[in-house]
Amino acid sequence: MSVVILNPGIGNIRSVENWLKRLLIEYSVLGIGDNANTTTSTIMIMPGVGDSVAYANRISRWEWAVETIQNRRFGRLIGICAGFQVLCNHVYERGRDAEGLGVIPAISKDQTLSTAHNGWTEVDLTFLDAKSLRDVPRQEVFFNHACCVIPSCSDDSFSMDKLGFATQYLKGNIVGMQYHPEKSGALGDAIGTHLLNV
Amino acid sequence: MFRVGAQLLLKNGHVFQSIAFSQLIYLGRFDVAIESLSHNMADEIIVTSLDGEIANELKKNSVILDQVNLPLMISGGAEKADLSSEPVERALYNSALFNEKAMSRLKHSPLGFQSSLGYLPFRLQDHNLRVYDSDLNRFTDVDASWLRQRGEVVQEFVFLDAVNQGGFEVFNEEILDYLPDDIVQRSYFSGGIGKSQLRSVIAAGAAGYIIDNVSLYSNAKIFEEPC
Repeated sequence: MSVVILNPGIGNIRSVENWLKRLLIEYSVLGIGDNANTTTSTIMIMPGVGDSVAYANRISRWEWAVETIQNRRFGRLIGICAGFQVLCNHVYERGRDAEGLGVIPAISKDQTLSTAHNGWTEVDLTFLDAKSLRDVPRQEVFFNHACCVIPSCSDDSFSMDKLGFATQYLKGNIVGMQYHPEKSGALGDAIGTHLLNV
Repeated sequence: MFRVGAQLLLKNGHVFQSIAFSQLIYLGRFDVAIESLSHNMADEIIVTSLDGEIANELKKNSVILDQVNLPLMISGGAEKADLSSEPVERALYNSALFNEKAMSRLKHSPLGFQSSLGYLPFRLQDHNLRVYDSDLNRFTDVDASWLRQRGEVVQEFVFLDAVNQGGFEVFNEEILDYLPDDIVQRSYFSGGIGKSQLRSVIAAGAAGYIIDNVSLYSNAKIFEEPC
């Protein structure tokens, strides 16, 4: 297994790097213009601390990444927060918009809440097929987002928050998480262990 | 989703308690404080540079901060920090809120709108809400319109009771009477918290509370069923 972090140069990958280090997982980082031979043993991570429209515009200029993601040339793809949002068909944020990578049947747009969604919330851990995570004392994960993923149609691949946005996505070898497992304490570390099959 | 976080005032790797926005008391080592907060499962941790040099403090304490698996916010010269390369999710700004050009820059923060908060130490004086401007080192009167304009560039606010900071059960709940509901819903409150004040801010629909007294925080009872 090899783990690759995609860094389009917008946002912040350091917390995800620290997450992987805590889990004792070796990884490499690819930036815009880089490419690599990916196989069914490759786990690609798209971190997302940042502006989703800027992220989408940056990654759209990275031909290798676009082609690899859209043709599913990986073992697993994990999109986190803005990294999850840009997997959608289209992203909208504060009056701007951009095409997403189109591998998730959804759009990402500004939340309709008067405040952005910040804080700790329980999510359906069984959705990730991870019953073992129930042993962790704090059963909440950390959210910090002003935009959210809205499915284009009713689809069991999405786990939904009661406020109407997707908290998680799991279909085939694509995983999306609106929350930040890298900053969700012990549960986030356990999720990482589960998804990265360590 | 009420959040309870903690603020650490940092200088050269050591943590201090500020009393009434004027005195400093030495508390201990930064790494010990961080570990305590992580153990007590703080919802968020604010790391504030007392010297306004948070960029330097982040570099000096990078080994400690890289171990934290909880959300981190920074303040004290945050506009000089390169947020795109630090293990932080959000930043608090004060002087930027009093400067049109700085506010314009905040609109294009690389971490997005959700990453910016306004940090507003306050006093209630002569029936006015007065907030602190760190550049001018003085308190100035503000109103709901001023706050809403700042609310266009920062997602939330932290209101620190500068008079009662460091105390216990003395936070001035009257601030809630000076703020419109939409601002309260986007605000953390801080400064002299006790359980009764915690209940008041929760009832008012606030976003959260920031513990400003690290020794209080180590007593986790305050987080047990605050309502």
